Amino acid sequence: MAETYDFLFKFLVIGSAGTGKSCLLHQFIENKFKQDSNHTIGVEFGSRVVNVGGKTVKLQIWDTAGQERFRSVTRSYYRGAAGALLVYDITSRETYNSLAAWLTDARTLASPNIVVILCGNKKDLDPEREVTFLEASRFAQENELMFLETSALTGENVEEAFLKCARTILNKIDSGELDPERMGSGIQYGDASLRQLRQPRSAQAVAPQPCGC
Amino acid sequence: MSMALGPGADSPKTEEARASPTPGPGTPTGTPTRTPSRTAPGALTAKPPLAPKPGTTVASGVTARVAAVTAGQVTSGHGAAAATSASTTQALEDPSGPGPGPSGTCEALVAVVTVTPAPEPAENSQDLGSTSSLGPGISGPRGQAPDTLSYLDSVSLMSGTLESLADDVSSMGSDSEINGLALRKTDKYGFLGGSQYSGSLESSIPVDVARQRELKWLEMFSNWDKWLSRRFQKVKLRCRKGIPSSLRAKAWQYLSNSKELLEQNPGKFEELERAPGDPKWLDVIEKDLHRQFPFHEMFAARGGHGQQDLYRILKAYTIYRPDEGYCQAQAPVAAVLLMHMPAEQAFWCLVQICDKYLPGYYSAGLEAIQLDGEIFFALLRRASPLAHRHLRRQRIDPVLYMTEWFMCIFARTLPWASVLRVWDMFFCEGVKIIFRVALVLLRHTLGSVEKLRSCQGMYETMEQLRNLPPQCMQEDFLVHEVTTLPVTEALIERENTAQLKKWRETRGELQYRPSRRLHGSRAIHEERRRQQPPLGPSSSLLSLPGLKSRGSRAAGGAPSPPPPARRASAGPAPGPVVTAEGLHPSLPSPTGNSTPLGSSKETRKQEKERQKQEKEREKERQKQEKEREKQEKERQKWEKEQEKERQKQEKKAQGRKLSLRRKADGPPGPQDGGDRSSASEARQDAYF
Repeated sequence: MAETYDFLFKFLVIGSAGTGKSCLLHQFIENKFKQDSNHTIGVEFGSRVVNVGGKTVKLQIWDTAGQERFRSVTRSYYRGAAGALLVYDITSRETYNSLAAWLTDARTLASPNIVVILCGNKKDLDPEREVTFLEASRFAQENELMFLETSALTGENVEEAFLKCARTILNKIDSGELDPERMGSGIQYGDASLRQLRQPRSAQAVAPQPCGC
Repeated sequence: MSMALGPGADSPKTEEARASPTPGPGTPTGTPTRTPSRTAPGALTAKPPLAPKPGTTVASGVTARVAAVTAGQVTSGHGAAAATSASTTQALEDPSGPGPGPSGTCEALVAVVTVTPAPEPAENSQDLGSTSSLGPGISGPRGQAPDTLSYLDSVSLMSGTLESLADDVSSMGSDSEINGLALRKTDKYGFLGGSQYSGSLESSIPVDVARQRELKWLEMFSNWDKWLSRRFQKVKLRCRKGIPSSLRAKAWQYLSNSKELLEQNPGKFEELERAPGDPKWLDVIEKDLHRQFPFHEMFAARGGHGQQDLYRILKAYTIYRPDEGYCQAQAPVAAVLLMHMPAEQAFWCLVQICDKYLPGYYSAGLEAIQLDGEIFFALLRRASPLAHRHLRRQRIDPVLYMTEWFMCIFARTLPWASVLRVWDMFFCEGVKIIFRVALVLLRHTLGSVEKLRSCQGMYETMEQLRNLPPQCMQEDFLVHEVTTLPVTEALIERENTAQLKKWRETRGELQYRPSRRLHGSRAIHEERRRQQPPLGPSSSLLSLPGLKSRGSRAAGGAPSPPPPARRASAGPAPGPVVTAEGLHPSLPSPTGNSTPLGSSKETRKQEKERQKQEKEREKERQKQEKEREKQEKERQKWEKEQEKERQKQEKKAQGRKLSLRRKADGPPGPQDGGDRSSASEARQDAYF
């Protein structure tokens, strides 16, 4: 509770089963590779406070189950996410092929403005690569995504991926493209900024109550 | 002693057959060749730094040994009781030596390889009565050190588990006692580390109590049908007390009736294994093999026998139920079963869980789990209005936290001792137990104002739900709370109807209609009775929506043929058939089973006496049972009334603040359950 930050962003990590979503999250939070992990059933999460462009931002990251049949359940996690890591495995074309479906999910269920970064994970397994960098980066361009190849094992580009996503969101806030005060933006003001602002949070806190549906 | 060693000596062979890439006699060609070949690149996740370690060539060589040792430890994992009483089981197992190995093997090895710091050997030697257990008990410490070491070394060669273990300690809490060498020991359940590692804190049951319980269970096994149909309350009570670890595997199979399924489908499992399987499923399964209880010795080794068996049964299931395929949440469930029984038995047990206990949980769309989430939330309103209100305000959907709990039957959530106790009750009483455990957990995590103070936001609340207070998960506490929570099958069914109605109104028809859920072993038993007499198609009465799937299963060869004869002979031992399981050889009169406990002549005398006494006691017990049932009914009436009153009060309390919502929700009044036959409702209430 003592931690102060300017903003809080809700992030998602999505993508097919076995692409290394949980490992990416673990690497980002703990700075090491998670060797013996369970596969995710339902949801896992973690959070970390990072410094982006002079602002402290708390990232609240929700890591989801990848198997297709969990989608109906994981959808409930999407609500109000500001950013997402869309993960595929560069050694598995199948995981790449399902990207479009994941993207649609994210944009329809979270928010059309959600900032998505495409992550080709398992970069360290280059010899077994099935998806080229070029191909994926073309896909990213077509769908207006940022793109990085990452390795949860070595840690390469992992932090970068999260930070890049956060930076983009901050920029959009600055430019007015994103309004943190809009419900479901996935962005909240932290304590630090609250002191300067005229308590926009109280409005937010009250909001959910009346709709006791 | 020689008896004990017999099957034990066999084990390396059988295991080796399985572990080596060349398929063993019974093993289908498809599977084993596929597994290793896949696990090699299955170093897939074993990226460069890892890859050299697993050196798969080493692996296959060592696996056999690992397997053998593992088998022993797993069962030793059943705890002190298992080892001390291993004598009982060993002797039983013995005649069936050649029978399907692993389970027999496990039992036999128990005493020999125990790594557990537990005091078994001492206990054994103190117990003068049990000569035969003395043997392996003594040989234990002698043989154990080198075996253990080389085993562990081999494991560390093959997977990263041990190394990463050191890292993981940090996440186990600062006061963790595990450090340095201690890391290399398994706890009594076979865990090498991880969050479910049990320290030495476990309370263990006194030996004589454990033995008494075993005898009682053996007696039940020998008259199983009778016990289930006439004295179910007692069976339930005994499950709640905890099934003796030495007999747990068998009890689960009896309770779920997977035992009969296995008998009726000889060779079916092998056949399924041999079938090619859909690559779509196989790929996912393979990705998950090394992700099940990676800290359990049985599953720690990449491509080890635990993972291979896991592959076998998960694959078999996708062929058995192609319409269902594979769901990732099935893997932990299957793994828990595998920790206790050989693959074929585990498979049929899994089938029962997926088809009878939790139909639809693992099906595409996961509607059943979402529906249960809603049911759970409705029940929470009664069990803990505070927690309910909090979650509602935070807009935390039930599926956000209960998915893993329910789908894995808490296998990944609770400390291991509690997992086993929960599973014991679950097999007997069905899904009700899952609901109750979840309710208890929530009540003790979010059920008071102070507790809620630290969960101001959604995220904090979720975090709290991911890190449940340890004391509420502690075995005895949890079981006590669970057994006293007034959530009955009838209540669940009522809520089911209500939520289903809501679902239809808001989301339309269910995409997938699972067969009817059976609440535990009595319901399964009753269904079986209804089906097996030459009733013909009228069994459709049971489950209209389920008909289709049942039909497809029939095609799979599940139901009818053998039963009638067996049905008639409900009384005495289903002996010979059971032998085939390799679990329970000679005619298991309860007393016969105790033979190995003492020197034989003496025991025989004792046995006869005991038999007499037993009969007398049986009569008395039946009388008492009847009385108790009366009382039980009265109590239930009373409780119902209380429940109603409480609801009234609750409503009043809520009414003040939320009169609007109350109307919307409507009282969960009797009209909800009205469409169920009230007779069955009363009976179901009596279960609770």
